[in-house]
Amino acid sequence: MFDNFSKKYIYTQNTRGRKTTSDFLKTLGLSFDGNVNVTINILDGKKIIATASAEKNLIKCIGVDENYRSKGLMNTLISEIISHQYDNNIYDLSIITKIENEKVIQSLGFETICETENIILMENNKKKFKKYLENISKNKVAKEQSSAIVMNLNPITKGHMYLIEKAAKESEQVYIFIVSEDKSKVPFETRVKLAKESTKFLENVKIIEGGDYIISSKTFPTYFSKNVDEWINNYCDLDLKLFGKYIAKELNIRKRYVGKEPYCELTSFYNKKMKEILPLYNIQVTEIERLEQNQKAISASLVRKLAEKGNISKIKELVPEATYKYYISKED
Amino acid sequence: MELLNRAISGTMESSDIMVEIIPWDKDLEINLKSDVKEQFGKQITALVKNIIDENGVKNACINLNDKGALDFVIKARVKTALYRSTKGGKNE
Repeated sequence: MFDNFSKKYIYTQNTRGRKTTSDFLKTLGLSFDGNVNVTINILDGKKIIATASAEKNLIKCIGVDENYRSKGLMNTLISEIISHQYDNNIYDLSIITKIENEKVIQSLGFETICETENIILMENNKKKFKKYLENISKNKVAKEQSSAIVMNLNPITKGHMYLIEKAAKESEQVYIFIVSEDKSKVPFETRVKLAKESTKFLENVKIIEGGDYIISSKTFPTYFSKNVDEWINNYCDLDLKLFGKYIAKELNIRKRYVGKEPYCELTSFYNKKMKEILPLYNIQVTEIERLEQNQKAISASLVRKLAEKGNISKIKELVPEATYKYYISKED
Repeated sequence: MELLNRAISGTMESSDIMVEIIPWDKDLEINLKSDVKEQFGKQITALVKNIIDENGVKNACINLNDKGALDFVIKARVKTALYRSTKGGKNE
């Protein structure tokens, strides 16, 4: 308590500070996430002994040097971050951390939302997740068995349509959760609009906003930075457990469809985990071969690449009409 | 005293207390989380209520996370949170 420790704030432009923080986390077997807006370090002299960061309302990358445990450093860090975020009008906070921190974080006013073997998601406003589930259940169509697809639709292509139509044919009801995180090229609003227009003719398909708890930076902090590390496994566990245990229940989801992923290592790993975890919650996983054109799977990233090059005419055969129109209107 | 915005003061370090004030239109509500709630819970709540009453605040939600703070610390933290809540004052 009377040690001579100091606090240091590190913001995004401080590359060196971020590098030393990252090195410190590495010594604890943790990794730094480049998306964070602010980092708070506690120093003993010049040495980092504890750190925590925040990206908007998510606190993460928490680590305390083993030689400095039981000095209440976690209390100092979390208090500091709460006050800092408060000044930026961010009040409801979530924490992702190792499961062994659960007790101490609980004592700081957070409650467990979901835990996996290794990590835990906690929040200081317990009503938030409840409200989220209530909103999800408002989309419920009275059907015995439903299916779900989680998609980014950045933007929606004929490949997506193929998957959606197949699911629609095989299911009474299909819910499509669109990933809300706005880190994609095509803004969320547009992705939703194009999806709604493109699936209008399918009566048993409903588009739902994925929100904070489906492949968001909350359940999957590194998904959007695309670095595959040992925590990926944990994040997949967390995301899929939230889906299987809570979200799917609200809508009677018994099946989840997913497109086979030939290119992205992370997504194909996520799919593999999906097949392991969701059946534990009585949800069957159906992986569908991707629709190909000229021996290449149609992908949204290909469409985005063509768009960047201004090759709009080539896009036409890869996407539904609404998406094509969107690109044409962007041209003008 | 009219509360204008949410405010926070203090820390959750040992011997301190974190006080959060949220203005709302319902009656005064005080939520206490404390390591010594069993022994001093009533006393802490009464102390805080006293300060709030003295300042004529009627509609607010007060969240306290106490880590064994002494009375004068609690007083200081609550007064600071109240001040920040009326002036739009930032932390420190």
